Amino acid sequence: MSYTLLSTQILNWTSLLYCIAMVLFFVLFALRRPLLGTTAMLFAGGGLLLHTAAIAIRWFESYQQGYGHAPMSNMYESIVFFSWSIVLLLILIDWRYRQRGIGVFVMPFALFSLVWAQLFTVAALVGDNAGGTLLGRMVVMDDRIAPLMPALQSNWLLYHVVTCFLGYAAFAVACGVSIMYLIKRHVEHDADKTGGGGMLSLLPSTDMLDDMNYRAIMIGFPLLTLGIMTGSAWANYAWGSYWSWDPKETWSLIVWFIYAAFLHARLTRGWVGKRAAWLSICGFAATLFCYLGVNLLLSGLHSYGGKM
Amino acid sequence: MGPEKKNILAEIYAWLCSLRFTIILLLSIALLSVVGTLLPQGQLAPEYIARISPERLTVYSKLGLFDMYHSWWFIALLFLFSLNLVCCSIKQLPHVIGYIRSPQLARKDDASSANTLESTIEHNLDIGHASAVVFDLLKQSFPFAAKTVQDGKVHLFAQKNSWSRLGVYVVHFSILLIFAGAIVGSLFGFDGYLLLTEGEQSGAVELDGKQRELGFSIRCDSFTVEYYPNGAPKEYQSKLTVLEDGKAVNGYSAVKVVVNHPLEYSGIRFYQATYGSAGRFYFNVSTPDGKTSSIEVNDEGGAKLADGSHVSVLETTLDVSRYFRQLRGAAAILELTSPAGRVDRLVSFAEYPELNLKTARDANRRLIFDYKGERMYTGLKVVKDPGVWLVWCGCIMMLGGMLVAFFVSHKRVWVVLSDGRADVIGHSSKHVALFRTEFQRMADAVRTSLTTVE
Repeated sequence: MSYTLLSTQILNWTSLLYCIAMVLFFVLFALRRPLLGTTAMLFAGGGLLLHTAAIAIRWFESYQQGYGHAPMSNMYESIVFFSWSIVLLLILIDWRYRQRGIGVFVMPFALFSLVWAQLFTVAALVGDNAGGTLLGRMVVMDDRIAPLMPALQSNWLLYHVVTCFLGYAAFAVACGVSIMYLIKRHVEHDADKTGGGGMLSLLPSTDMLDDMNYRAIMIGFPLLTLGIMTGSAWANYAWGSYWSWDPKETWSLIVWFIYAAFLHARLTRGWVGKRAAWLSICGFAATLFCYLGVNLLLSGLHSYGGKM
Repeated sequence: MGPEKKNILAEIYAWLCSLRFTIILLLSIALLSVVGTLLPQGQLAPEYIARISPERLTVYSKLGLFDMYHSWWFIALLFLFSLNLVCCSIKQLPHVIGYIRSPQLARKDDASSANTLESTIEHNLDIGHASAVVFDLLKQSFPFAAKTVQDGKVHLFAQKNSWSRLGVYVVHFSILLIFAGAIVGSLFGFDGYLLLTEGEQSGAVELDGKQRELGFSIRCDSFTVEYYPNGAPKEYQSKLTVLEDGKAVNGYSAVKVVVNHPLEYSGIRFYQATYGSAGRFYFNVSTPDGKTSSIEVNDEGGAKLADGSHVSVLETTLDVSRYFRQLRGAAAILELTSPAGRVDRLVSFAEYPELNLKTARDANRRLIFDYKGERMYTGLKVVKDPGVWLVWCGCIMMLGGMLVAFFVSHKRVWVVLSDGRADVIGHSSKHVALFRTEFQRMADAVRTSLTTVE
């Protein structure tokens, strides 16, 4: 069996574990048994180990094929890594803050990206005609290990992609927490009238969620900053200019400005809670556009990322 | 200056310092930047000009939307942003420095906030003894501790990381530094192109249609492309030599320049950017009697051979494997017109003389053509940016400042001792949840030291 195939199969098992973890998080919601939360985290952790192994095997395989580069060079590989970063951050936050409930809203991001990566690949669909339609071009990815084009042959690839994606993952966590905050706020508002908190009472308190939103962004913001800087340093080596207002660069700056506004808004009264949650969701929407939208819809220096 | 005028100026200044202005600026820069990612920037493609109506084209151009990141209004926005940063810092920094240099040694009763933690301990030591014991304790765990007597109470104060309050100003300053770097780069730097045919040299680069002297010369010794087995390009490589007064500079002879590895000489960098055919092709032409001569075929006029026939090159490739899977190396398609007017097309390979011989025999042609390659040119991007180090300094400062601003908190502890009672008050500038455990440990240590007397 080829290593690529092995890696793909391990990823199938990873999705299964993530799926179980997500279901357990939901059940945890309904039954409010703390043990379920621990089990869910164990599944997530087991999934992360497999996920790591799958990425490592693919990396190894690229050396076997004589190319030898980190598995972060195309859309398929980046989306697998995005999913990995989200679960990693979820586990780190769980370990640091002991807030089980957030898995319910964060795990779906990780699971969705991984399942997308597995279902809509060239190998899975057999044949290239799926890429003919606009929708086809947008969702279908090439999962074959390909040699790196000259512009990508640099150690900066690894530093740049890792920092950016850890940042994106932190923003995904912040977005999940914000959605949770808004739902909980909404339900509590109704519950004040009807009495009783229902199953949402297992979630962290709204204050806690608001605080976690802030913290996740405090982790994501320096990582995004570092990601932009490593990108600039690399662009300066490869193209002779650290900033060229390429759509990807500009969008990363837009994301940066939105979160900078978020962080400053915290300092003024009235920008905590609901407004902060919405700003965080907008920030993540911009992040997603920066990551996917720019590659799929706009053209520029980063366009190799989204091509079949 | 009248009082009214003064008031307006004061109001403008207050607005420039305000956080509200910061947030509006940040969000509007973000929002406006979107436009430039949707409209094409710089040189417009003819297809785009054909598609858009002339009125819109004029309006967009007048608004600077096709070069919006360099338009006066975008630069003005960035200028306002810098002004906001400077004004905020001028307003806040003296307070913060005062805060750091003269901390609040005696605890005020009404100073509690959400970031304050409190704990009360009862004891039966006399104040002098108690304060000595607790002061020793504080001195052990904090780099700064002070004792103040006020209103019959002893206020012990200790703090650490008070400098962390400066982190955010370091970040703000770093942004100005990055802007400064960009300005220095655009004023004193340049960014041009240099096309060099193999074997040729140049002492000037082209900048917006004008020539700029480099002060030295650069020669392209060779240009090659290497391919992966699947035909995708692996490496574009120029060998460059730097010449001063016509002589090669030591250590700068035939330097390998590939994408991601520029050549730097006297503050100017040369990047591998593009390449192409210089339009001169070389062949060895042999006749059956064993005579071989080498010819150069020019892209424009072709070449005339000794027997009166005419050769021109239709197409060349650096890597023939894209067309013939099992073959490697370069190849050319030739058109041969005999003196009698017979037109013949043939493929000539660089690496397979036996195939060249075979095609000649099959076509019953007298002349055998062995392709010897073509003259290539390399396209170099030539950049001088004296501001780039300022940008990197700014980046490093920004990261350092951010780590401090986000993850280091200014922690303060007061122990207010009066007869039979000790109030322990803790304050952390951020991460209070994490400070709580540390504070609890501190309060427990104070309790232990006050209740277990030796």
